[in-house]
Amino acid sequence: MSGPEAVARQVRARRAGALPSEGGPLYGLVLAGGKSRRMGRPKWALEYHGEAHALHLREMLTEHCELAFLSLRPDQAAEPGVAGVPLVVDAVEDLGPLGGILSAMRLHPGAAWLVLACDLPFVSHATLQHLLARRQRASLATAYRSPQDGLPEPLCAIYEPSALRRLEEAAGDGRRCPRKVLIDAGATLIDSLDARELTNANLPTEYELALASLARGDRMTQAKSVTIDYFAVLREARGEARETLETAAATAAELYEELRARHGFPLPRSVLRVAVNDDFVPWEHELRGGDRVSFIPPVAGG
Amino acid sequence: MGAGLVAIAREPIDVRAWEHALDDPRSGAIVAFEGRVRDHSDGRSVAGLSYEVYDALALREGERILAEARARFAITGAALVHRAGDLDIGDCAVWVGAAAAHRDAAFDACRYIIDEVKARLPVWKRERFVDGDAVWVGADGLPGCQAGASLSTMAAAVPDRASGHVSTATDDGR
Repeated sequence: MSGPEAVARQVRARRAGALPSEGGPLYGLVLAGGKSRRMGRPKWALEYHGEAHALHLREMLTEHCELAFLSLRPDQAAEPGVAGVPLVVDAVEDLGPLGGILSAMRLHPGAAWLVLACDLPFVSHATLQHLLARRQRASLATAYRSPQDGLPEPLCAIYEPSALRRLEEAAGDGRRCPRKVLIDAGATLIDSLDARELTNANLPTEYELALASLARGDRMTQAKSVTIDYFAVLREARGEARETLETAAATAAELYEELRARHGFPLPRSVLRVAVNDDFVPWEHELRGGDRVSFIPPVAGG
Repeated sequence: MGAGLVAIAREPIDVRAWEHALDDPRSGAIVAFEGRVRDHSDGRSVAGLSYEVYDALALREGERILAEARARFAITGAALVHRAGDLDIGDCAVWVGAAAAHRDAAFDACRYIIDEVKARLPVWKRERFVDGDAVWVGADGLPGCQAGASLSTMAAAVPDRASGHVSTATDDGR
């Protein structure tokens, strides 16, 4: 087993079909060192496709990269589930995802890294191929543009060796946000094929919704535009009475969980009702483009 | 069966006019409930209230409640009006009226309607206290609700905030 300072173990020969390296090699990295506080159990070990998702994603990466590693905290390196898996153990602690990426780049400074968060249930080979086909090596990084806010998604992105210096600077200043680094560095941004593919699952409810969604086989659901009207406590939590956005949420429940995660709404779905186009609907109600949706906080008339 | 009448009012409620809306030669009784803004809540001095209303949904749900009342009770008509906006102490916040040939149905229907209105109408009440604090009634003490300063002062669920007075009119007693 690797020590904390360590390290990569080479497992397998490069697979047929892996991209030929031009310049340095391309390595894969699955970030699995999160503390999963909101999920309440380790996100890396959640199963969406019959095995721990971090291992599933790492396997996927081996088809596109010369090597693929799992990024873990030092205290996770002895996990039985990761025996035999190439690891990058955090050399910088308490820097979150940035620390994981930085640790990998320090280990192999000549490599470019395709980085994936371990909480992306819908990432597919198509997601990775789409990103790789649009990779700009001259750019410091190539990343997906968030369909929600237009900003880079730093945890499904390719970091070129030139990104190392920027990440070191950020870490030196105690800046933990790789997204900010990508924004400041002018990373190349590309649009995703499907607004849902980069949806992550941070909460137990989001895990359940993702599982249900995968079971229905609808992960390529088309993005649609919906308008949300907020009232009372939720209006104040959002800071606006109305917003229109693109979502791949199939149901009203999925939309609320998506918005709750994004805006940090305090209210759980269990205390709310939902209305679509000015009438109450069940949470399983399927959304359509152009729908007006409202989440109804506990009422207090009279 | 008379038609239901539902309104969300941004101006003071003209109670007389609403009673007249229930005029019907078949009615021997009208029971009305008027909810008013009270000057205290859980021992705190209240300066006033603000109601936020999802109008389109409130009208639809209000119609539904009146239809339920007409189906359950032998009434000739029913009406419901709820205020939106800022209210002062003593202002009428909600008015419900039910008209029937005989008083029992009018009482029952009126009680049913106001109870359902309070439980179901998408209306939110913000209480402004004399000390300058303000809270969304019913929003505190919820699971997962990280109450901020403005939400932390309320006890958990607060039921009836408006005092009511019930009046009957023209019950011919038959």
